[in-house]
Amino acid sequence: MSQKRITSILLMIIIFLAILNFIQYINPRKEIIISTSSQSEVRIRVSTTTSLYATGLLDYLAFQFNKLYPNVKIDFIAVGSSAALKIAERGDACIVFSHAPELEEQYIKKGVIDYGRIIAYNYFIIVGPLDDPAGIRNASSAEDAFRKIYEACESGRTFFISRGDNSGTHIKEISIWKKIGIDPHGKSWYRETGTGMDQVLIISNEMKAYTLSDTGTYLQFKKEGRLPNIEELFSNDSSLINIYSIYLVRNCSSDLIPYAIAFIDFIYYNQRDLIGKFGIDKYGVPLFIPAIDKEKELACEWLKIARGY
Amino acid sequence: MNIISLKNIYYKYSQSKEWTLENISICFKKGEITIILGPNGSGKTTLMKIASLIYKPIKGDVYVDNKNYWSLEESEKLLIRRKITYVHEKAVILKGSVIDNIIYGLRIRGMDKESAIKKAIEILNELEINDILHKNALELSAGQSQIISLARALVLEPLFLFIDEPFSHLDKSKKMKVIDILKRIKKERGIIISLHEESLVEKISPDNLVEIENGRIVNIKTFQY
Amino acid sequence: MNEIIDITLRSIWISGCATLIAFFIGIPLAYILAYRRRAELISSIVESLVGIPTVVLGLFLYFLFSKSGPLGFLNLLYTPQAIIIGEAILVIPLIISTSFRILKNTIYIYGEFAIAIGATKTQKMILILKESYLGLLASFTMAFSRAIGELGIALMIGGNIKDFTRVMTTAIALGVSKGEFELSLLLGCILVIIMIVISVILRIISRGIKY
Repeated sequence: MSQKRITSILLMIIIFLAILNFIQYINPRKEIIISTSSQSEVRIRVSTTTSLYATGLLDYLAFQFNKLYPNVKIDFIAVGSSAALKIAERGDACIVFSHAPELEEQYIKKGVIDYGRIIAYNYFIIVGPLDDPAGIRNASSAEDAFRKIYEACESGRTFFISRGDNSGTHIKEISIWKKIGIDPHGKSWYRETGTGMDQVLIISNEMKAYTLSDTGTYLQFKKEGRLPNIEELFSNDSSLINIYSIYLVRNCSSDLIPYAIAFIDFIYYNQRDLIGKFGIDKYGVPLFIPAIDKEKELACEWLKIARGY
Repeated sequence: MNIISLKNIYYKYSQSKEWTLENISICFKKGEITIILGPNGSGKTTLMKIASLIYKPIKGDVYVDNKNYWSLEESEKLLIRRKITYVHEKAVILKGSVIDNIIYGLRIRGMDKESAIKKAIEILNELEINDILHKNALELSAGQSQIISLARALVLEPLFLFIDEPFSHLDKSKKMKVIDILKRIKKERGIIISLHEESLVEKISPDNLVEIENGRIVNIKTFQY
Repeated sequence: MNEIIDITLRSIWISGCATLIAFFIGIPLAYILAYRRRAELISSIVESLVGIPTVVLGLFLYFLFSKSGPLGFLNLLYTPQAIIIGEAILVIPLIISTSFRILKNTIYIYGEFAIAIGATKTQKMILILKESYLGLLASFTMAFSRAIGELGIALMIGGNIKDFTRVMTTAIALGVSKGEFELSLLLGCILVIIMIVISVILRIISRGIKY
């Protein structure tokens, strides 16, 4: 009998706690209208590309920002670049991080995003097998490297792994194929995985294949020792530039816009200290280069990519 | 409550095409023991379940005294049903101890636990099975289960008691014990027992013997002692 | 380490709430269904929903909860409540289809008995629920395991937000995309251990009920 009683008490406690927990979640944590003086919590939602989030940079930026604005919580939704913009279009985020100028241009025209700031850049890199069967180590340009990979692949010596997921990296890769007038789709050596950079790097490592990668994910995986069979073979070409921008979403609720702008400005004006030094302690090199010193050139590059010049 | 009468009853199960019971009319009276005799699959159990108000007949009426049971209000039905008990052939055992099983019927009728247990122990003493009082009911043998489910019905002191094949798993002494009890209590109640073999009929010495075959009553005998 | 504990507790809470809600919706539905004579069609539809891919459900709910969706005004997207609702919807078919069989079986044995011994409708229901307790508990455990182990919904409508909606499965996925496989493996092991522990605890509790 006493066992029965204990059971029912246990059950009651579980139900009670569950209800309590639910109520606690519902009340204060929502985006509610706040007066500037009060300390109640505000949540700003930011959609971002996964590869950028996975470097840990964004959590670091939010952490620094919270020192100034302790009541503003920045919530990151990490998805692909195109999904990040789509989420913004549907009104589910206030800020977008993106590195796909072609897509950004479209959404700016649609009036979805605004107040764009280029915050950082680095270079996409071409990674491939250590013995480099295509011989791209001393290629003259990214286009030249891709042409060499194409030839090696056609002769059956290697493979190329593509993201195939409409991400910023994927779009860059497609634009290079386009420039050299080759359509790799449907070729047996061209493998479209439809996965994130992480999976693509792992697959490339397993298959000893070439792929285009962003610097951040590559360095992380290399450092963790996950990529013994492949390495960075070609980079630092101006056509491989990878430009990261931040945007305000226009239909962000008007209560949140001041905080969203504060966050954007905070990042923009502190690029050198925050972004320029991020990753040095871990990888020896910074993962991103602040954009503020080369703003005009980058804006020019951004336009070139966005309009396909 | 003196008489349950069935008038022109037809019954079939939802998946079968043929009638399980066909045009059955019969009365069960207070103070009498009736045996329903028939081979397996003849419709004994179905007849018992209709007479004990568990199944609603597809055609025909069931009268309790002069009330047509299936046209009564729910509350009235419950009052009548609580005076009639049916004991399944395959004992239905509830989770818990033997005593929990036996007091279940009393508890749902609102009796307090102490007096219910007292009553249950009386019955168990009478059936000479008080040694298994606190055993887990799910661990009982088939015969013990059968006795327990009978005890669970007896403790309710129903006005009509329907027992489906009560002796199939009992040993001889227990059989005689049960028959003695049934004979003793029959004065104030109607007892209906179904059997598939004749051997026990004489020992029970019933007032009525109903023979049933293929869903029809083939013979009714009334004995005078 | 603190974060791992945090994520683990959050996972248990979210999935626990979801399973409890689903349980209190699913069991009455299963009970009603078990009493219907021709329930085959409905039960086979419900059964086919058991295996619904979580990303499909997640996507569907995303459109529902999105600001420009029909329920956008509730501000539920990317909150723990959204995951709770999503996972509850996910496991309701599982709870119905498993408990439906158990209840049907119990009703077959005990439903008639309850009438024969003079139980009211409520008393009959209590008896049936009591007798099928063990099976219903198993159904609860299965539902909880499914809820805590699913990824699609937590990712799509939870958003994997740090310290807010990050649960074990989304943390595992993020760990993989960061190359931190050991962290993901650790979380994966914790996940499996939780499933086993919950199942064992429920078994032990149920032993108290049985006797």
